[in-house]
Amino acid sequence: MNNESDIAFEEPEAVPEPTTENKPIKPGKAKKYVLDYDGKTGALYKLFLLDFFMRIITIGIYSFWGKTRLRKYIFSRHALDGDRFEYTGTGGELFKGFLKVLPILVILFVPIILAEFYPVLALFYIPLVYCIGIAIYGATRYRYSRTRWRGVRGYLDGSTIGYANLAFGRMLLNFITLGFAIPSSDIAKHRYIMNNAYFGNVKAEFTGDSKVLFGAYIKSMLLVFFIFIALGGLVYAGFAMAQSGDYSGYGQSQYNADENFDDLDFGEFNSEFGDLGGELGAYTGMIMAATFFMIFIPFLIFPLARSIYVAALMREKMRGLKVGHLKFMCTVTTGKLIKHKMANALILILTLGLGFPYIVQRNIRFMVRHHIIMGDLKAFHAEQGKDQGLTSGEGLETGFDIDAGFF
Amino acid sequence: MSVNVASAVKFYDGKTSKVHIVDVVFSGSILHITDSTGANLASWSIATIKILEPPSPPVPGVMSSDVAPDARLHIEAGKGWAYIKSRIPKHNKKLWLLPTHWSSFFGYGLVSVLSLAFLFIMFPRALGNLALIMPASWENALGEHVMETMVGSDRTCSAADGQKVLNDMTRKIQGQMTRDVKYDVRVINNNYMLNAFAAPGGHIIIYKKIIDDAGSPEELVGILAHEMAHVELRHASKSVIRNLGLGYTLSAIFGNVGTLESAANLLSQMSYSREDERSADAHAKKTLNALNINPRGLQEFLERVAEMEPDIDIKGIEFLSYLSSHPDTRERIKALEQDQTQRYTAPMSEREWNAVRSICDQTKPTSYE
Repeated sequence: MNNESDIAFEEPEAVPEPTTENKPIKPGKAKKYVLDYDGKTGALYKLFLLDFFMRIITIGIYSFWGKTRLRKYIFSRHALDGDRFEYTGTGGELFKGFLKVLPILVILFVPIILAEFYPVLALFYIPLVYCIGIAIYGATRYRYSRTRWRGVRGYLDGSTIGYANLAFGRMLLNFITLGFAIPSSDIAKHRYIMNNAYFGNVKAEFTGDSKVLFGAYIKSMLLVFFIFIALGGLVYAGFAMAQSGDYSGYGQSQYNADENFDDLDFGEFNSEFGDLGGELGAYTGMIMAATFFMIFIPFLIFPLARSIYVAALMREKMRGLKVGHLKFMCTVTTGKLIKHKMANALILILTLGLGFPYIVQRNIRFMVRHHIIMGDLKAFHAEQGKDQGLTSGEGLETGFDIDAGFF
Repeated sequence: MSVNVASAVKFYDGKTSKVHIVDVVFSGSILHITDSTGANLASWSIATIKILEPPSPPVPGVMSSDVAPDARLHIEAGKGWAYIKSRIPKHNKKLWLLPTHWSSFFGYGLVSVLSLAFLFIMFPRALGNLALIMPASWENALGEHVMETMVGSDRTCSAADGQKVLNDMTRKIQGQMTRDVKYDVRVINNNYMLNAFAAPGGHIIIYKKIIDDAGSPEELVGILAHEMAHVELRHASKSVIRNLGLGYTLSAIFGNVGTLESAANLLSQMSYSREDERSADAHAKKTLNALNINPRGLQEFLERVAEMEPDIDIKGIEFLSYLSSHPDTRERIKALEQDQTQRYTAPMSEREWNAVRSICDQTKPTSYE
């Protein structure tokens, strides 16, 4: 156990040694379970609306309590084998966590803002990026320790600095390998977290492998690559067509139709002019089309093409996970994920963003529908594990506005 | 006496993940939790029981105890929750949850609107009060820039006798004020504008036309007292902070020439609020009365402005001082009226008044250092 200076760690009394097996009861016949979720869209809307108004009233400070209330609601509406989950975090803890890291956030972000005037300060991006790893691990640890099922809470061992080093090193590796290390990095980071995770005294174990992801990753990237080539080709073809003068006829016929121009025998000039007119018109159209393709399409296409990889990663994260004798399975496929994401995007656009709580609801239902837990939950036995000893949480994460999990 | 409050509810002992289906029995002030075999799993004194979550069907309410903080007793709303809750000491069931009935959102909406109003109306006002701690050197730098923007190429009238009378008058009026400002009052050689202007830092300009058109020295002294009141009350500095925001103002003050210039531009295009004009009028009236000078002069000037107003509107001249807020001029005249019981003395001698009137016999280029 790596005791960290900023965390008041209290030695718990008589903690049983962690086991990777469930010795007391031999698991019976493996059954399949899914999470039950009975949260209501209307209730989510109320909580989001409450958060919205209270943030205005309290100049944002309520957000910690709003977030907590939402989590409490969502957790309590999840049940596994008839037993509901519980989120025991508090708004006060999140607020305290935020106040603790406020000086750090100021030290990190002020130089970045000033980098506009003093470019050398851009070097501060390095500690900033490094701190993202710290933020993710700290937030994950807080959330695990505040999650209970059947009265037993989660626990995340391991060192925050260890994870931050890993994440930072992996980021550099991803960069150097032009992204080809991304699957192995994603799995390595996930492995670090899961191999340090406990449910009570039952240790989680992750044996996922990035090899099975590599094919999906290449497919994703090739698809993105081909889409860009195809778009580029389309745009290029458009320009080429405009330049070849295929469109000049439009302009010419217009001017030829004008009798005055004919009388004055603008023949020579007219054809030139017509050319120019056609070219200009075609250019404008092409530029508009190119702008549309270049800006909007990648925004839509890129996440969709990436879905091949994301779906594979989601499946592997579950396939490689074991908690005691429990195994997990994710049934998300590329097609399902794309369909889900496109529907989300459409809802958000059509409702001008007001559909967001409904999107949250849809995401939860999607996850619940596509995750299966295999084993015997009646026989599954865990003893209460260590207390993480945290009195505040998620501080750094608040500053980065990232989401390390759950929803 | 024992009371069976709930049966077949879920209990998690907090030590293992085992699910217990239990009966809950009150015996005196002790809550006994027993399983189907009759084994006692826990006995909680009522004073130690805490409500963690209220029931929200179909989600049961969650209780725990100080003696076993990891243990959880789940009780549905219908299954004796109310009975247990009624017996728990008040401080143990405190749950700070804001209501989420649809009707309560009207309240949240209303308070939100009020908060926004506070943020965008009251807060800038409070911010304006920061002008009170603006050092004189900052105000001075801003004022000089405003003046350079305003005056342009017009020359400054520089006849020594007239300037001396103006300075003496300024000193006399300042004797009635509290701010320690180094006033710089100038007459600008411009025959077209009927205007006077005060900028932060005590810089005041009076256009020659005001003196030419003035029916009496009281009019000029009234205008001077009014402009000095703007400075005394820091109207210009306050409106700069309110309109540009604090950061921008600080940047202007710290010598960023670009921002200073735009602040000056803004000030030269802006007019004081009606409120500021009214309070400057009131302040001037008080000062003049204290000096035994007839404030009627200021009123006469405004009356003349009121007559001219359509003209001015067409010319599109809009400046910081008198010519703003047209519909208001008559109101201001009314506010200046008073019973004429006080006996006034002339603000200056005939000879001094003549010196002021000929101040533009000599001129020099306008410069602010």
